Amino acid sequence: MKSLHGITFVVILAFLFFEISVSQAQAPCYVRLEDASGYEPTAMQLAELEQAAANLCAAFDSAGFGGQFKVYDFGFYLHHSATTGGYPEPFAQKVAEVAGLSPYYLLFGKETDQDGVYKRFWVDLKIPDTGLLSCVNQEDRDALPYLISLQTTKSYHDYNNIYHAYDKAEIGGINRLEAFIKSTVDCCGEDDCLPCVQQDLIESKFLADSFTPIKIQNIRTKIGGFDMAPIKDYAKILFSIDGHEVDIASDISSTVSGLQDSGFSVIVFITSDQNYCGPQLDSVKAEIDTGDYDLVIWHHIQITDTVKKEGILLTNTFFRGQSEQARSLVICGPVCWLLKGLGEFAVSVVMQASITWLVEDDISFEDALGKVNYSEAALEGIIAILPTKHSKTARAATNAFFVVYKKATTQDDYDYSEMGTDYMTAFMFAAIEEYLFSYGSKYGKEKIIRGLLKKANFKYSWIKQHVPGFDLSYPKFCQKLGLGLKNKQVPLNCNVNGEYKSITSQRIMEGWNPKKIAIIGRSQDDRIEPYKKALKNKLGNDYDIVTIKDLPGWNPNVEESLEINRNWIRQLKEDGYTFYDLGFDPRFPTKGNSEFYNMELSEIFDGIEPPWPPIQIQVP
Amino acid sequence: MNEEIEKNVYNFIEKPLIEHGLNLVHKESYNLALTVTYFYPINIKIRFTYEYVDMMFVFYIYTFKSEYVYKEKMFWKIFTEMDPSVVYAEIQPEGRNYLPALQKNSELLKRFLDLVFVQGNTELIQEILE
Repeated sequence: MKSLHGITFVVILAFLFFEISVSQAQAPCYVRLEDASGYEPTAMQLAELEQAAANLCAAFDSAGFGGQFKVYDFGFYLHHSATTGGYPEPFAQKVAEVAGLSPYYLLFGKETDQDGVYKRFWVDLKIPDTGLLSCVNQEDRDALPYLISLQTTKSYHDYNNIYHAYDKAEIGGINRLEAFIKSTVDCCGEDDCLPCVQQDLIESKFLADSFTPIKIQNIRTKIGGFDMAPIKDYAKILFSIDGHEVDIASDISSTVSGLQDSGFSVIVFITSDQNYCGPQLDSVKAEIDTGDYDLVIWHHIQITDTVKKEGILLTNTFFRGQSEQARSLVICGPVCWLLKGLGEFAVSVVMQASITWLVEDDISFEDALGKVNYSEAALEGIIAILPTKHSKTARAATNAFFVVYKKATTQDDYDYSEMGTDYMTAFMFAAIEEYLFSYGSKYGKEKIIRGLLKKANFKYSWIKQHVPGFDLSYPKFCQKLGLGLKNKQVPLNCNVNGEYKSITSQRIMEGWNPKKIAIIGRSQDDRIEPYKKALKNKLGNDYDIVTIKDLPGWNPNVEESLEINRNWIRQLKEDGYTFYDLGFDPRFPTKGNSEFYNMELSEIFDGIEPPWPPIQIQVP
Repeated sequence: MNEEIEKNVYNFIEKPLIEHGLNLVHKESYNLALTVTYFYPINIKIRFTYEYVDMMFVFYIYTFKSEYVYKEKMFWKIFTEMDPSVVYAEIQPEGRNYLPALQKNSELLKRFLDLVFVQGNTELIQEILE
């Protein structure tokens, strides 16, 4: 009986132990909070998520933080884009709530909006800063959520961003955090830093700082190397981008000289992950934070595959004022951030955007920037533009870019539209000729011309007023295209109120479409209209001949009519019309004064009047 | 295009013509100009056009020898010859401000019409058209 009692006691103890073990094993590490999307995961998905989370929790347990870490999953619907602390409001509220549930946590926020379920993943993370994790510096702590977020997004992408593969995305993020914790626990306290470097964490830090990544190949060590005062090449690495050989230090030297010639003080740093543990990266950061350079250009090279010799070039440009005070006044609006993020090849990006802006109808400069082929721009920025610094286009592009850049970093309300105008002002016109026949050529001459006339010529007066020495009037523009002003008189025998009279055109502004003609000048009824009929008879129906009488929408309000007339003239220029100017009316003793004709002269002939008295040639 | 302009042209140009026995034969108003043409029963035609877009008056007198043979002269020449103190700038709109010039034309037109049709000085027409 005693033994039976003993057995019973052992059985009860074993049962209790089993119960406790089971309840401990079943304590979920993955906690599913509410999900506004309405999607219900399968049991299999939940089991896999729990397994990944349990492994992560176990890593924290091993680090001495047993039971103090959990993974939370939350789904919300985004009604509006208001943010709190950089997070959408529902997610920010959940972060505060979760902070009260567990001392340390990883929180996923799955964003659903009108465009679909789980369109984006948000990540918030809190890890211990004591014990075996005390050696994680603040910079790494700050970068870690970004790294987890990147990995989650990447995993989601691997499954085509389909909402029912959300578990794969989260598992990707969870596994990455687990690897980080395990590696950190192993490395904390070690003297040798290099084996502990986590490459993707470094990359995520650069990406979080708006560096632009460019894939590089054929990476190899540079023997010797370029040594030029403003270029600090700590990496000593050569590589290629899409078959183009790149030696950054050498390639960038001409740009640096150009920038210095333009009055910018500049320093360039070229680093690699090998410099991560040394003092070099700190010196670069110090230069960015406290240096006196206008521009700090930073290239960081990561070798991601030593066998295939592949890697990533991370690049950025930092603008600084001349003094501490100026630095404190540096303002970075959206345009500024964009340009900073693009690094030196922003020159090329902005140029591409300006071409898109130019050739496409009804597109804002901001949207044009969104259409840029950034890989191509990167290549142009590093390879194509820099070695050809001495070309007019490259010089104009670089200077124009830095005009825009400087303004973007000092004017907080600087917008894309203003940027477009500024860039156009500083670049387009300075290098129009070369531009038209090189960069612009792939878009077709006609499209470029139309764009220039529509978007640039409209601003011509403004540009002329603000840019000293600028002169690219419509006549000069046409002249550059081999067209333009022809001092050619064309007398025609015209039926004026039943009587044939000779009317002579005073000059011609040749547009790019030879079959379209517009007739301007004084006295519509007695000169312009009869001349139109005579010219139509002479040239035939293949020609489209218009006068102001064809202009619809005339208005009793003179101001409005002037504007209608001006827009009509601009449309004609854009469409390549050739203008026949009949000039002033020789029947009168003076030239007279018409605001409409004056405007036309200004738009078409840069304000230069036709001869007075008019040339009159009698038709035999 | 502009009712006010049409009204003023009627009052200052058409009315004196009607009062001196000329009949309206053509009136055209479109977005760029207003034209009125009056014919005297025998051989005189007067055409007045206000070209809004050119901000000018085109004011003619024609004398017909036959249906297709005529002489023409612009009124600004007639007015300045008739009265050397008349300054050309006074009889053309000054930009958008056309009314003073219209009134001046009206005043000079009446003087001319009085000379020709009231005082019967028809030789004057031949004389000025030479």
